[in-house]
Amino acid sequence: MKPLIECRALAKSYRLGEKGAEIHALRGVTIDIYAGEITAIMGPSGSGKSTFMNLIGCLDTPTSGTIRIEDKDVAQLSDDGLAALRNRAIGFVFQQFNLLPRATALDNVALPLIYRGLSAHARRAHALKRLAEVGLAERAHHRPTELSGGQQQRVAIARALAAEPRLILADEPTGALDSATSIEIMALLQRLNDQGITLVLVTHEQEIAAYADRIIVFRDGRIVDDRHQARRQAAPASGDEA
Amino acid sequence: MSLGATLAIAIEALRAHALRSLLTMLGIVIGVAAVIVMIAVGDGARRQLEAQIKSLGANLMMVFSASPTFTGARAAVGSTFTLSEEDAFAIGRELSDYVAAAAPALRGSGQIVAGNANWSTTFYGVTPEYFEVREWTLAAGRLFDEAEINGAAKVAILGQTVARELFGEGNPLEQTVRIRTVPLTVIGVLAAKGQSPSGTDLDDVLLMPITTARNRVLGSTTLAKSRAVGSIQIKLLEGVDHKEAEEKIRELLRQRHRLQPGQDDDFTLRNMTEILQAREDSSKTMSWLLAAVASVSLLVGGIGIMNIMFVSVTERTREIGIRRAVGARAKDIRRQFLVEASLLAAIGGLIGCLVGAGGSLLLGRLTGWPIELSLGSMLLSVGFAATIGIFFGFTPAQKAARLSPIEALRHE
Repeated sequence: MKPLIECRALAKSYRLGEKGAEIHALRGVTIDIYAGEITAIMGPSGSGKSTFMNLIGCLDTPTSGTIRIEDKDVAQLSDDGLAALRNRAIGFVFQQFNLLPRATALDNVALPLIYRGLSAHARRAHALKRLAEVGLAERAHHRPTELSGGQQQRVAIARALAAEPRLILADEPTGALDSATSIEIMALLQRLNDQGITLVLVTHEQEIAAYADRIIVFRDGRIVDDRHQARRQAAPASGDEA
Repeated sequence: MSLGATLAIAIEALRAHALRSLLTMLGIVIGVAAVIVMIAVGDGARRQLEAQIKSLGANLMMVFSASPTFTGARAAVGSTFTLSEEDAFAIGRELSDYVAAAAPALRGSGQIVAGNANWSTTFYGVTPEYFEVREWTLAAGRLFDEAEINGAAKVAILGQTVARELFGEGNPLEQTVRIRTVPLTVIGVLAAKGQSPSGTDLDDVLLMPITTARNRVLGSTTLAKSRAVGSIQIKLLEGVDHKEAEEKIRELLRQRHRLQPGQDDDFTLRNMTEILQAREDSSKTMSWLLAAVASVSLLVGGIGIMNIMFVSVTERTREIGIRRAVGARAKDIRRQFLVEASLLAAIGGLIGCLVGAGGSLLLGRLTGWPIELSLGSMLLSVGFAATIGIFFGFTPAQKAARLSPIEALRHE
């Protein structure tokens, strides 16, 4: 089976400011991530885990090495091609939710569909369906500021789902949430994974990583550990439904 | 990404900072308003001038008795009349290469009485050439005939204003009017002409045969002997050089009046059409001046838009990052900011149109200037404003499009 994401000798370095010191965020990372798994990326701050996420999310380009997503060499893609890939193949979930503050939940979820040229009507219908999937159909016309942190993150997940991607990349998805809400979010993500979506999530919390099938640990820009585990099942978000 | 969606985002973004958007538009508003006022006033002035040239008769040249230094004292009737009917005939006869017709005229003023009504007006003693030169036709009745001119017949043709003042709605034809005790029978009514360039009512006039004016009404013996006239009105042929014609006429008159070289003219030549055209030129200069002001204002407005768009791009860097993350291409981002900038400018242009139209009408009311609003110029202005938005919005939009997605996302 071909891996969904294939990284070979991935390196990323950048300078702090014009004449600043060169930072080696990644120093040669080779790894395959297969479809259908929940992979947790762990490591202390500055270990390169976020840089790795940005690279496989096509938000950033590596200094050297190759990334293949769905067997396509990302380096061969134009900027427009990368945008199309982000639009159709990858959904992002961020620690700070990154919702548009002035747009309603519905408009936020519909955002990726704008760039797909869907009609306003189709966008609404589609977005409403995604919101229902994360249990927020009644909050469709609320703005992010009128929603709790957990609700905001679920809107963000619905936005990631709007593109119907095969891959969701979540950077510290529970980092800004309390532990009960964190478990709800993890339950939601596990459910999506059960529906066939591959999940890569960055976390520095051991408890969150326990919900994953595989844990990859970064330190100083290199992978220092890579192991599979039997994942802990997150309790279904029963408290939420009540 | 559809234009509709882009527009919706742009409107939302402008609404989020309504006051700032409004202030940003101000330069464009002022610029466009200035353009609209400029065009409205310019068109109005041009239209009025055209009407005036038409009312005077095209290619009109006038010769007045007495030298330019005497013009102020022309009221001393008789003593200063240096032109004669023969001068007029000579101009018509000898300068036929330049002149279509030359009409001698004697001017006077006085009270005209008809029954109980009376009206103070200006009267002219004229020959049939007068109607040709002034391109004046009759609304009713007939012109003077040869016998009436030669015989100093007691007949008159009334201007519209005089006819209205004396006879109201009634028919003035065959009625008798008295001027300085001389009874005249009305044989015709002139077509309406409206206002002269200097604002006087051209229809406030009474015409009679030149002989009648000289012998019966003005009644001066010196006038009778010399066949003197107050002015000669000349219609030049279509297409002749006005300067050249003017020189020829001056030459002929100086020769006829036996003026020595170095001696001042004893008459004043005025090219009425040229005077009007000169005025049109000066109104054009005025228009250019306003256009300059307007374009400076539009330029400043454009720079204001550019400035605010840069601020907007910086403020919304994170939003740009989010959009890029979910699949917006660089050109989607560029287009969004371009649409926003041009929308800002177009709305400014629209408001400017309204302000300009309102301002023009108000100006017209306050000053009495003729105002002519044109829809075409308004559409053009809004379009131009939008173009300015696109032009000055391009650099900020380009900056937004070139942001790297990850740096934009990390922006705090």
